[in-house]
Amino acid sequence: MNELIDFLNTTGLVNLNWRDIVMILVGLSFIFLAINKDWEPYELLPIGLGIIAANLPFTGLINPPSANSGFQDAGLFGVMFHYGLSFWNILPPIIFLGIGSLTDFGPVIANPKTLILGAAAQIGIFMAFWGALFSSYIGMDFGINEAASIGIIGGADGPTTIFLSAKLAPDLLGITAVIAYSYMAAVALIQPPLMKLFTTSDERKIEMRAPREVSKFEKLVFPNVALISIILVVPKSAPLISMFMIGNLFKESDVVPRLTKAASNEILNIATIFLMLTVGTQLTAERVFDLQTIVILVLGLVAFSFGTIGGILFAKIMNLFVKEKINPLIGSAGVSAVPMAARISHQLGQEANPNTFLLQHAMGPNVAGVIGSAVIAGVFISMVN
Amino acid sequence: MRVLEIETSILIDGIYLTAIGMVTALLLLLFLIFSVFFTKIIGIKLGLIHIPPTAEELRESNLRATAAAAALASLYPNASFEKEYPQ
Repeated sequence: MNELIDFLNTTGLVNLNWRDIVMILVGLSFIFLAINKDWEPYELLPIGLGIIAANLPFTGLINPPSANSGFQDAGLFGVMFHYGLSFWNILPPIIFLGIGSLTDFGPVIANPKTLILGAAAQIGIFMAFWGALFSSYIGMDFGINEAASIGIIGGADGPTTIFLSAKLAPDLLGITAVIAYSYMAAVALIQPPLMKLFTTSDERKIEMRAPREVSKFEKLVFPNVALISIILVVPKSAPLISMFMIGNLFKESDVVPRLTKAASNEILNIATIFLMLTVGTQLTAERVFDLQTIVILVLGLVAFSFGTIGGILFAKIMNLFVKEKINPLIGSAGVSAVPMAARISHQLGQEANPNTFLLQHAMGPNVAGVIGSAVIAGVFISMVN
Repeated sequence: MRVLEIETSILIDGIYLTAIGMVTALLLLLFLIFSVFFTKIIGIKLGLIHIPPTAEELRESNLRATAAAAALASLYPNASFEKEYPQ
């Protein structure tokens, strides 16, 4: 009988507490949203599975490898987290390689002034950064490192958020990554009310001329110039920016189609599986059931909202000076969230005026947002470290 | 020392981070804008970029041609260009 009791005590069944059950339900809800609602399925599905696996008792799946406890005690996801993120941090740059090979800089080159909107939308990062620092009023104790990791959620760029959190605040990695991806999945809910609130009906109707055709020469020069100039100024952004531009050069060169295909398919997919599973496993009950998580959730929303508003308002300011008016709806795409934010700008433009085609134009600030948030992440790492 | 419930050193670090982060991102993107224009000029000079006239430019050019023809027709209503410039 004692043997049976001993055995039962080693099972997860008798050691499952209510917090684990809630987390397993959260994981199941992520899977439901991914499958039934098609909400960011490539992210939410593996994250959901990761949450479930990490919150089952006694698995040891997330034990990190360490010389003291013996490497053989390390869990599968602990090893993935250690080598993929916290120690080597190679998964986000690999994702950037894939994203680069899927990116078309054509709209940016055709209408380069839209790059400014990508910079303006980064204001959300700093609003959340200061929000985190001032949260000491409600008893939180975020240092500069944590505030930077929370702020970068406003960049609406998953790999950049993960890259920065893994470097500056590994304990917040799971939370910041999931919040960033969750808000990215919910841009269709967060952005449209703000876009309507901060633009007039006439502004939403502004038609923009179709962008010019961009030559191969320009498409080859741009990633090279961006690679060299950005890394010279912010060397700490090199892992993200270099992989992004290398991926893009693979695509634009047209001479390495196999590498382009591998980067944009196999490599991107493999990295996504490991990255998202690992992020999911960081969401353990101890980390989530905390006031800190709710504060980060609110700050993430603040970051997204201010990023959206910043881009729109800057587009309106630009309209005071430029001859050819810009539809301010494209400003909101500066928060990154490629390509959902650009699609939302297009949809709202179409609702206001069926002759308004904003998708191409919105891709400019969208891509600029990716570059801008990677640059700011590099600045954070350089200065905070 | 604490200002607004934040340590002064953290406050100062935060201000520097904000200022340097925003200015760096803005300047780099401005530089990229400049580089796009510069590349375009170089590309046109080297004959690597051909910019076709836009629909608006084509329409304006057509309107100018029509206006010139109309002006010519009103100035010389009886003129026969076939006689002056036999084919």
